[in-house]
Amino acid sequence: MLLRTFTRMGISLTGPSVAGGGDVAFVNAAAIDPAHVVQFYEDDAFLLESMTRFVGAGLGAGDAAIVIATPRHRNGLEKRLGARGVDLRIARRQGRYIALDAAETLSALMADGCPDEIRFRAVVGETIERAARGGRGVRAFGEMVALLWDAGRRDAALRLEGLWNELAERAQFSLLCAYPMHGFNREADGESFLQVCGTHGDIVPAESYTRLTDGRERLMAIGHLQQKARALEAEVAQRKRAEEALRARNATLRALIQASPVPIAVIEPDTTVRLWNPAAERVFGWSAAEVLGRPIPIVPEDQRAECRRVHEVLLTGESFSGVETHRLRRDGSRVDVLIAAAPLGSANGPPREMVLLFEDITERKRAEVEREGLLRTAERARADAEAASRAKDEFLSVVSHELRTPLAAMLGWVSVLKTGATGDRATRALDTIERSGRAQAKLIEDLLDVSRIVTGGMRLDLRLVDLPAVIREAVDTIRPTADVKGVRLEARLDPTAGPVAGDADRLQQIAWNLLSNAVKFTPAGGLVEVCLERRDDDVRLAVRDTGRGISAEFLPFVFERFRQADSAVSRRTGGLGLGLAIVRHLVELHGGAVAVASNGEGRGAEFAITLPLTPFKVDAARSGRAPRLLDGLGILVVDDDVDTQESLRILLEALGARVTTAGSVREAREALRRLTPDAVVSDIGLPDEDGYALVRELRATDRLRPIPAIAVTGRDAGQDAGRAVAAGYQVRLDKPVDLELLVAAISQLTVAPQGASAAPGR
Amino acid sequence: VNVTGGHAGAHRILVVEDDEDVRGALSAMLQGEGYDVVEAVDGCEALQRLRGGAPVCLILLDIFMPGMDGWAFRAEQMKDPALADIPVLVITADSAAATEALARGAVSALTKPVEFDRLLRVVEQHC
Repeated sequence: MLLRTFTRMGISLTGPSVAGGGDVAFVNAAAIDPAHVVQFYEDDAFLLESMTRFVGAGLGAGDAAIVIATPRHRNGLEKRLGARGVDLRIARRQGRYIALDAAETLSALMADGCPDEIRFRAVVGETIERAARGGRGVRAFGEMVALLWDAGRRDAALRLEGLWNELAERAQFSLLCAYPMHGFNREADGESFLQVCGTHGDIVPAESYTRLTDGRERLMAIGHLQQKARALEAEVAQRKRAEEALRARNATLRALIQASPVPIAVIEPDTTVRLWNPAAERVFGWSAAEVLGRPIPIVPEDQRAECRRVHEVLLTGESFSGVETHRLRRDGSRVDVLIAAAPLGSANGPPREMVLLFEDITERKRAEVEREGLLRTAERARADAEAASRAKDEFLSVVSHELRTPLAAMLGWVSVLKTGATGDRATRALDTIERSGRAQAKLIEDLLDVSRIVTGGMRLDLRLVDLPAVIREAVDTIRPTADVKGVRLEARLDPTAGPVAGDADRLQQIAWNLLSNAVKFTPAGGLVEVCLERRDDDVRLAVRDTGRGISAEFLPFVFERFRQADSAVSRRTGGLGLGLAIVRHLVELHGGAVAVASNGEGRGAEFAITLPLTPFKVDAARSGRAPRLLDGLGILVVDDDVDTQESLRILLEALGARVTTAGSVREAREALRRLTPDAVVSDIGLPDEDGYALVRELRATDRLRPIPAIAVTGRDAGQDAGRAVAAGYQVRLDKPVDLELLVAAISQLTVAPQGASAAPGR
Repeated sequence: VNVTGGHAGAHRILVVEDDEDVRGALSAMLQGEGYDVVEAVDGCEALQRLRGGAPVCLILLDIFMPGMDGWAFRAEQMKDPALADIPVLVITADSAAATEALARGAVSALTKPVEFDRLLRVVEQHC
């Protein structure tokens, strides 16, 4: 019966070349009539032959045929039917041949991506009804399902098969569906293959089976197929195991990559990122989502070309490690890295990807730089120390020379005297001995001053000083030396240039040092000019000479200790090279400044110092506008006399100071525990403990040591001056306090760049 | 002419010293002992005195002097065969220079201040 049905339908189970006949054992005996047959095929020619027989037999029997097929299959069919002498034009005219495009028809059936029952009935159902007019039998060939299958939309395909079957229950027609075998290539397709078969009444296998002619061959083929199936199953099982192992290994690798503290990236030759682990996210600040599928964003502009070169090397199969370079973070900051890189090869063929491992060495580099910096600093410190040590050695050698030379002269002349020299020779001996002795005393004085400067022990006994008189004295002292040497000495001293608050002896020392220096370095016939002038806020003393001058290189160092332009000079001119250093220190202690200018060697030099005028004079000159001279300064006043306390408080506060008072050392101690004043003004004669005790305590405490202190003592000043300074006061003033002088002292001591207690080495 | 030292000008001594007071003292001491003294303030003047004047039996030489110093003078002296054999007594404030002077062929080296008796003993060996 099945054979009859198939034969009637024109479908041959034995292949297109063998008409009729053949074994029936392979076909389901329950095949219905009219049938819903599925035809599997491997190539188009076989399908077309099948279609041709199916349609041709129907048309030949007077039935109608509906062909819903791809254009290629429709054309093939029509060409073959024409070759068999079927006149399709007549059949069309009679409504017995209806050809529809499979894709177009399918799209007409679809609603929301799924075959729609109502549309299906409207389109396909009505076409079948139309074809069946006049009681004609209908044969339909459909490929829409195959199109859906091919597109991977298997659910939709099976749904469409269902619609065909539902339609078949209402309308009488035979349906031939065609599925290409390549739609079932995967092992997993077995299930769907059976599903497709299940939606059809009859199944025609593809040609590799139907082509076989006799039963033995077919049984052999079935046996072979069974063998193949077993082998395939075994193969599949093995592959599954291999896949499982691979999956496990991949999982391990993935876990390693995820957990790795080392940033790892995989990139393609065009730097597209394929892998980016959490360490890379952490170090570079780019999340995997941001970089995957994009060019790697961490290569600095100036390294792109180098990178491309490296990639080319990698792609030849080379790998490398330990390349030190830098990359950029997301925020543009720099990461120092060591890079290791290797090509990721396919088993055969050139590598297509590269794996990059980065070691973040930013911290290590920073530490290295720091260490180098420390080394350099230490190196510098050592060099400085060595230079200082050399300077000191040289200085000692100079000191030795300068002390021994006058000693040699003195002792030499003493020897001469001892031999009983008389007359001119004796006079010369005594003159030389006296002069050498004085020179040596001066050297020793200078050395002691330098020692005081270094240890911070230099103190001033501040008074109001008539500066022109002091300078005049210094000029008079030096004049005989200048006369002997043939150097002219001219002085222009402005009598209004003063008064200044200062230590008269030290101010004279300053002037004398500058003058003797000028005379020393000026040859016979030269000129030394001294000019003292008053300016707005200060007085300026300039000593100009026409002497040897100073080279530009040495100019910055003239005020440094132990420095003379060179050792030979020191031998030619004598002296220790300390005078100017002492000048600078003394001037700065007075709140003033030093300056030097020279047009170069052989062209003379000018040394100038400026000293602040006492503040009240400045005030007066500024016609009533009263700058608050002590603005913001904190001052501790210690005096057991309440009236003195109060008057000092009122006067100092009027000038802008914040004044704290104490009646005893104990109270002062209390106050100093709470605050760190800018200056301390203390009486010496206090109950219980005196002002010496207070200042000793100040100097013994780190926090309080730098605070300038001013002692206020009674009438027997002369004796107290030395003692107050020795105890640690910078300045001592007479009682009753001259407020002008006190303010000058406070403002100088708090403004001076280096206080009397300057650190050694300044 | 005294020829005990084997040198011409047996009683004449050249004093090369830049410090006037020291130079004066040395001259006065030596003159008090009966020597003729020629003075020079540096190496240059010393060479002039030696080449232009009467021969000397000994040179008292300071080292650190402006102009031509003691070392430079010694170098010039050694180059001149007429002067090379004159004994040199170095007198310097620098003890290291004194040691160096002995190494460079000075017959003796004294540090300042010089003890007159010691100086005289050296002088008497050569003049």
